[in-house]
Amino acid sequence: MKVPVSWLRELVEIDVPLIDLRQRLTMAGLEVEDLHIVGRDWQGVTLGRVADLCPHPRREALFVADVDLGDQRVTVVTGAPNLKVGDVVAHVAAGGRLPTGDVRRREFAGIASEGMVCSGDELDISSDKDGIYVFEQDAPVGQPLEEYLNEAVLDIYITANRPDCMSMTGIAREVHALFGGEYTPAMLRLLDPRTASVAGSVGEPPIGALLSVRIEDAEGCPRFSAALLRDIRIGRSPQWLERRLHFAGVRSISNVVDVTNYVMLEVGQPLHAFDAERLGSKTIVVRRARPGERLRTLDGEDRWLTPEMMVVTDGQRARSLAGVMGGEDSEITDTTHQVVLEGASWDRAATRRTSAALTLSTEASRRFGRGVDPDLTTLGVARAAELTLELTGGSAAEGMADDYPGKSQPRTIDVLPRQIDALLGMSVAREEMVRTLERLGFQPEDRPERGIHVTVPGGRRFDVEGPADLAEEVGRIAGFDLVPTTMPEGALPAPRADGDGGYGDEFRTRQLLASAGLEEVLTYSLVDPALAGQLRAEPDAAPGDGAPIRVANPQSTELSELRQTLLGSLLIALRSNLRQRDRVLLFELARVWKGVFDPSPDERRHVGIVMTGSRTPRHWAEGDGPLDFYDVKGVIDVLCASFHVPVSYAPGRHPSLHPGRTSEVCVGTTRLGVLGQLHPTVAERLDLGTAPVLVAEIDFDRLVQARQPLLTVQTPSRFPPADRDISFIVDEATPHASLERVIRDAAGELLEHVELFDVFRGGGVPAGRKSLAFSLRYRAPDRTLEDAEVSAAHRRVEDTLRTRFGAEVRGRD
Amino acid sequence: LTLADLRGTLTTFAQRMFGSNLRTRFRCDYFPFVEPGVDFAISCFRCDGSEPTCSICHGSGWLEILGAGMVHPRVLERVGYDSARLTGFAWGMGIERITLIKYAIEDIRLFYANDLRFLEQFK
Repeated sequence: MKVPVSWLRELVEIDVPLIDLRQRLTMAGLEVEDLHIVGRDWQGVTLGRVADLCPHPRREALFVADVDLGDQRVTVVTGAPNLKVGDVVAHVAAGGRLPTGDVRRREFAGIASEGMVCSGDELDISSDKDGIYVFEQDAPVGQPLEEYLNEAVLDIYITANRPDCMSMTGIAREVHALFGGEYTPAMLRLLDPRTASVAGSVGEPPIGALLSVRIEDAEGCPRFSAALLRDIRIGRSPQWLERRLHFAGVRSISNVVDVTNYVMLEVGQPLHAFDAERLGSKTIVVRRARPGERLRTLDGEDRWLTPEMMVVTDGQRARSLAGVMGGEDSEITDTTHQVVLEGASWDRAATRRTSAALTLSTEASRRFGRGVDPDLTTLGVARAAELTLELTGGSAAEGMADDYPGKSQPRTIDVLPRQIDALLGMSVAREEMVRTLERLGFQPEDRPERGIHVTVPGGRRFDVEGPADLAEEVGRIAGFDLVPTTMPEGALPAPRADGDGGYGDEFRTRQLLASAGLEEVLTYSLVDPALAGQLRAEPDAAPGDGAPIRVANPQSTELSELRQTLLGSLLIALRSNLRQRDRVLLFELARVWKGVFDPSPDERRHVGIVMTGSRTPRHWAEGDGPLDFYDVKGVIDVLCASFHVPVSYAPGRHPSLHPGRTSEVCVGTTRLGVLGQLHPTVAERLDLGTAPVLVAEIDFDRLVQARQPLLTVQTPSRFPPADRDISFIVDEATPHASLERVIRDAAGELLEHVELFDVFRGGGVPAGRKSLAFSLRYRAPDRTLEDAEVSAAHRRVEDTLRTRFGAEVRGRD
Repeated sequence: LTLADLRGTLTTFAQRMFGSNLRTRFRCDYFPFVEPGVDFAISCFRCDGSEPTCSICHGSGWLEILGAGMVHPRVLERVGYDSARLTGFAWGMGIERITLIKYAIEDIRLFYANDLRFLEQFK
């Protein structure tokens, strides 16, 4: 909210430097984002009077003006057609400066222009670019313009809880409370809503004979007030008013419309002016819109209305969209003679809904949406009527049409001074509390022996509801910088019984994977819906995890779906780093969301790994090959071992992975995840280079659940072992892991250790078969084994391999 | 707990995290779930308010690092506490913002770009 300081000074006495004003307002919750001194960026700008004016002798579109600057006269060439002899204008000397740049002496076809005369836009005191800005006739010729205007603008950020501060009087009240300077709004007599009214002009009837108002929905419209003005002359506003609106950030339109905006800025009541003749009715009815009702608003758009929107009607059809925008067919025009001035109060939520439904946000809708005191309507209308008559002539019907079915009792709060002290942690004198609240417009009644009984002003009812709010008022006006710096005292609550909430597991896992040489990344949980398809080697294959969860109103398509896997985001991070280097190893520990609701989405933590490039960082002495399946398996081995999870691997399938190089990671019958090599089709589609890309994705929650915290420790046997090897031929497709499991089962508990030590193909081995050799170590904890016991066990192994796998056992040692 | 305890806690946090020589600002602000509400700022580590065009504080001299306040009575009631007997304070600060300030990083997007040339510096 832009606040011209000259305006503020009309309402409250300010006897501190602006820098202090800025500081205290900011500390009190009204952050002054900018303090602009008007003219700070000018140099050599002086008021002058056009003493003589003639067309340029050689250039048709130019004029030569003789400008009186008080102590000297200068010749200026200008192209502006609006100048007249006697006009007071702003002159920039040659060598001077405007926000738009430096000004120099310049020749126009033989005539030197000593500086220039300026438009309002060039000076940034009006938005008018078309002609030279003409000042008031009595503006003092020769005075530097910045001295004449003597203006500064505070740009204040108004938080959502303070709609009452979206006005000059609201800010003035804050300044009054902060510094104690006298608060004297010139319209003070109108501030009392009970006496705010329109004095009828001589010969005008009471308004009741000309206009009446009826509200049919008190909830949507608690109050509607209106005045009727006649014999109005539409025209431009005086310069002071135009400039103030400009400094406050509002464009000047015409005197009547400008007054409605001016009064809105001054007292905070949005107003609307209808052309009374175009409105064409003596009765205004406020109601909900009918289904299918249509209204063309001031911006020329046809709006289709719904019954949740409020409208102002002429008794028949909608003429204005309540609290948001007026209708085009009752708009003020150059030929308007009669004006109905509307000041109404609209329900906050209904205004916000209407504004959102029509995607139409206006100065009025933003204010009503946050909350406007219904008691302000008559003040706003009375003030606007007074100002309009002053500027346009004309006359007013006596009084106001005013319907107020939604009047509510003011809120009262009882508070004990020690409650305020206890919340703030500092002691504030009782008298200071009362004084502060009084200055802010509350009515505090100090009841000795008891507390302070506070009546909340209408404009604060949306924000102030209890003692904590009053404590904030007292504290912020005293200044939060006065709050002492103390530390909480007393015992802290005991640590959570359930440990650290899993944080330690995550931390250790991150450390482990980083130590294994992987780099941690953080990617977004929201992904592009197209990504899931790109990750499948066969894009038409059905996704496996149910429908993903979509964001209802995403900011962009690229971030519109909750991810079900970490692989997509990790592969994208891999790709961007492959532009810089060819060896990249990444991991992430983060959440994914499976599209299953039971009753809330299935949200779980995953560990994702992607890696590609050479096995070791490049080194002059090393030349080993690219990372492969066993490298990513090694990482998962270590990760699972860190939780003491006895993990096993089995051939698997995954839509993104190479069918022959995919392994499921399991513990018992529980699937923890998958690892393997990315399918070449997917790698190529994602442009991931030619080296194998290894990936793994583990369900971290399941891994943690499978943790086996207590080890079973066995005393090493004192007795000697019996070592036997076994060598046999099986089909190529038989997995080593399955063979090992079967060997263990068949050998029984005497088997201490089994290890694959040789794989051989070709030679005497038939095609499609392979020869394997395992060494087995047998041992008992309590005795030296008999040869017969060992042989019996070993024979069981041989027999089982024959029957289960069709193994051809190749002799015995 | 009081607003003074909140101020003490925030001041201690800021000085331990960012350095004991910095200045802090504790001013009124609005957040719907606290009352009174607080905006907490530290002095600009780059210019300390001396540069009107500072790229970090834009000339204000302050970095607003976190929102805070006394827990709103309605919030306390909603979770079953008697707001007449019990008070609490609330504050929070994004972990990226802490890192940004500690390492004088100028663009928060670097944290999510996953460029190893950036990430590898955090060893």
